[in-house]
Amino acid sequence: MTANDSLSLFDLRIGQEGKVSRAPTTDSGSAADRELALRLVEIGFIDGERVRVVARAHPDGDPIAVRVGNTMFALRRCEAEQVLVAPLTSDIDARQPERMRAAIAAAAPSPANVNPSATGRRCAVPARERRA
Amino acid sequence: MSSATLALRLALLGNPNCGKTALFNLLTGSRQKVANYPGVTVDRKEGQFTTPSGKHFRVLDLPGAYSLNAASADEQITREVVLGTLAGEERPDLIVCVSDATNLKLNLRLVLEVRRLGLPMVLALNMTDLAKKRGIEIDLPALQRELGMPVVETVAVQRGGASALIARLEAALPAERPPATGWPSPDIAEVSATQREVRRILAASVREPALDTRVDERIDRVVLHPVWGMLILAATLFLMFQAVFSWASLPMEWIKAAVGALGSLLGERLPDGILRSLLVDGVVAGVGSVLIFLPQILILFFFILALEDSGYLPRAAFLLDRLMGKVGLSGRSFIPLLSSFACAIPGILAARTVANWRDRLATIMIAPLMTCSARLPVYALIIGAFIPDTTVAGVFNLQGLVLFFLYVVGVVSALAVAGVLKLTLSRGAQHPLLLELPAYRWPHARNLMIGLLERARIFVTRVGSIILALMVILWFLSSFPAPPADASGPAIQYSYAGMLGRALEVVFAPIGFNWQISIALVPGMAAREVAVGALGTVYALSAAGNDVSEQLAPMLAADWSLATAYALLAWYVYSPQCLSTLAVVRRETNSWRYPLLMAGYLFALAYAAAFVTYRVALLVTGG
Ligand SMILES: Nc1nc2c(ncn2[C@@H]2O[C@H](COP(=O)(O)OP(=O)(O)OP(=O)(O)O)[C@@H](O)[C@H]2O)c(=O)[nH]1
Ligand SMILES: [Mg+2]
Repeated sequence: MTANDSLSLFDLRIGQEGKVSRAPTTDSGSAADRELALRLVEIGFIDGERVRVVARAHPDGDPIAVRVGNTMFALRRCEAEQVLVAPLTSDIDARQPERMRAAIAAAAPSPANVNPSATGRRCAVPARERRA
Repeated sequence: MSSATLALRLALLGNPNCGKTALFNLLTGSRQKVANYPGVTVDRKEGQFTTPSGKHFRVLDLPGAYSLNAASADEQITREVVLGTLAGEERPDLIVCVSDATNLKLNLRLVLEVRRLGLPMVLALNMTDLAKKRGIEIDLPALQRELGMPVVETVAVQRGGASALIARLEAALPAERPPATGWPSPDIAEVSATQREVRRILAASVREPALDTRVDERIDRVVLHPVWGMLILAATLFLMFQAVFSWASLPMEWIKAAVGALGSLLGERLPDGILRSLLVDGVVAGVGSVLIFLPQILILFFFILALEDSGYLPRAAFLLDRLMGKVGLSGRSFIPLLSSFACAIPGILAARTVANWRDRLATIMIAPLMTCSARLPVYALIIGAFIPDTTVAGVFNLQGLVLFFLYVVGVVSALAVAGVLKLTLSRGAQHPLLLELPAYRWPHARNLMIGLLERARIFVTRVGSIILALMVILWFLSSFPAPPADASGPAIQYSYAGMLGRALEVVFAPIGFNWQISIALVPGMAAREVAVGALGTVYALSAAGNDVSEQLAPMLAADWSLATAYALLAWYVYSPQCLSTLAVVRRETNSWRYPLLMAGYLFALAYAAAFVTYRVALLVTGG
């Protein structure tokens, strides 16, 4: 695994394209994590698939809007971090106007200042939960 | 055997937003809701159709699902219907899998998954109009061969767009209905294998130019932008409420004039007596005063429908996700809450799309704080009577501003309540969002028209049935028993309703409500608009003799203090009394606990808010 491979989907910048290098797995984590991983694979996050981050919300750039295949999904950080990607394009999309780029850069963390150990935050209980 | 048992049961199954309901409507002539976001249909809906050769089908429209491995309550319904495990529901004989032809990469996986169930299947490639426009070439025979099932092309939004499917259904003769089966949920390796299979099939049967997302993404750069996006969202909602007031006044004048004319006509033609009082004071004054709010309701729905059809709503959910996360919700709750502006009931049902049960419960509990359209007449009546129709800062209608403010108070209160619920319900962990953001589409003019006509029909039917019935009952209770011969005040004071109003006044006097308002609150529990009609009737009967059927607002302005008017507005922001909402909450949560809790907290908030408003307004106005 190269250093590039260890980037999480959440760490892609706006306009940056990547290739899924490690699809979500169900090896570890709670039942809820496994359900989430399964759903991510079901909607297309499989090895080798191209993905692109189209937008990020405020603050911290969370959630992200990411294109996978022909579909766009909004994912929270804890969901996006289940997918590892290898970045393909390194620069922010050239068509993007300069001042917007600045505004977005302010809103979103660059991969450089994201602590890799902070990844792996888990989402809670997505599915069929028993009712009271 | 009856024809019902002969009819084949056909279920429409597919990913969210692929056009199942549009196809259902086309086949059965129904008018179920169609809109451009995932999670529109949250319940199974049934209809019927007969092919030209006379074959009967019972068609089921199902909630969209990414997978049979259901993650939310709506997907759960789909799964249970298809597996035949839903109580009281026979397993379908035939599955029509609906797929978005422009997005087979996502859609085909579900088709392969469902194929494993062994039910007879037909694949309907929907949205082929868009696929053709994009230059996507689908080799039908090859796809048919690969999938091992009949494949037809459909365009669910065009007349005749289902003809290939219907022709196919004429031919298909499903075998015996297989018994209900268990379904071993696949593990991730199997799902990945299916995904690879999808890609192999696509490579063998579909030629697709790279998707051109430039226009959508250019829009999204602004719409999803943390700053511009928020401004656009705020401006859109603001415009919506401004429009409700500033565009509606002319058509409202027309309806008001027509109602007034009818009232005077009846008043002149009919002999003085009970029948005249029933028609003029009960029906025309009561029902008419509700009916004039039709234009405002239609304007509100025009905006909601246009937003729903454009694909904007999930984007707004994306923008608001973090904000809603602060109070323990996710952006997923946005669409159910927005639907609650129409009526809390569809909003509460739409909360089924919220996967996390705690989030869903919190969404249900705060849905009634979103001002539903049935409260619009109450707001509009009081605002119209007490807030001057002036322009602020050159462009803004003051009445519209006040209305916007009331909606905002509702939303802010909802967030606050969610924040409190967070302390008791959730465990502070992050909840998933995972929301599909569909491609933008121009709202179909035809869809909009149908949607608005449907709304108008619902409103007028409501006015003509439940509201009319309640008005007649109220008129009766307000007219009998007749006053004693030596009575000094208006007759209504001696009636049953008058007595009830006086009794309730004890409770409501501290928040500034007189006995007329207290009476009106009671039928308002069955339908909120009736509060307006009830005031119409009560005041028509209180004013001895005069023809007042068209002049409710000025009469209120003369009779109520400003503080009372404000207190009533504050009351209606929380307005705890809607019985059908509570019944739905009972059904959705499967317990009495939450509806009772909801009624309790709403009543407490309403009373407290009205009390504070009344006292402060009294101090300020020096009353
Ligand atoms: N151009 C085009 N648009 C379509 C077609 N079918 C559906 N649509 C549009 O696609 C959107 C979704 O349609 P729905 O029928 O609500 O989809 P659904 O599958 O029932 O969605 P859910 O109930 O949310 O699962 C709407 O905006 C429709 O107008 C089609 O064949 N062509
Ligand atoms: Mg539907």
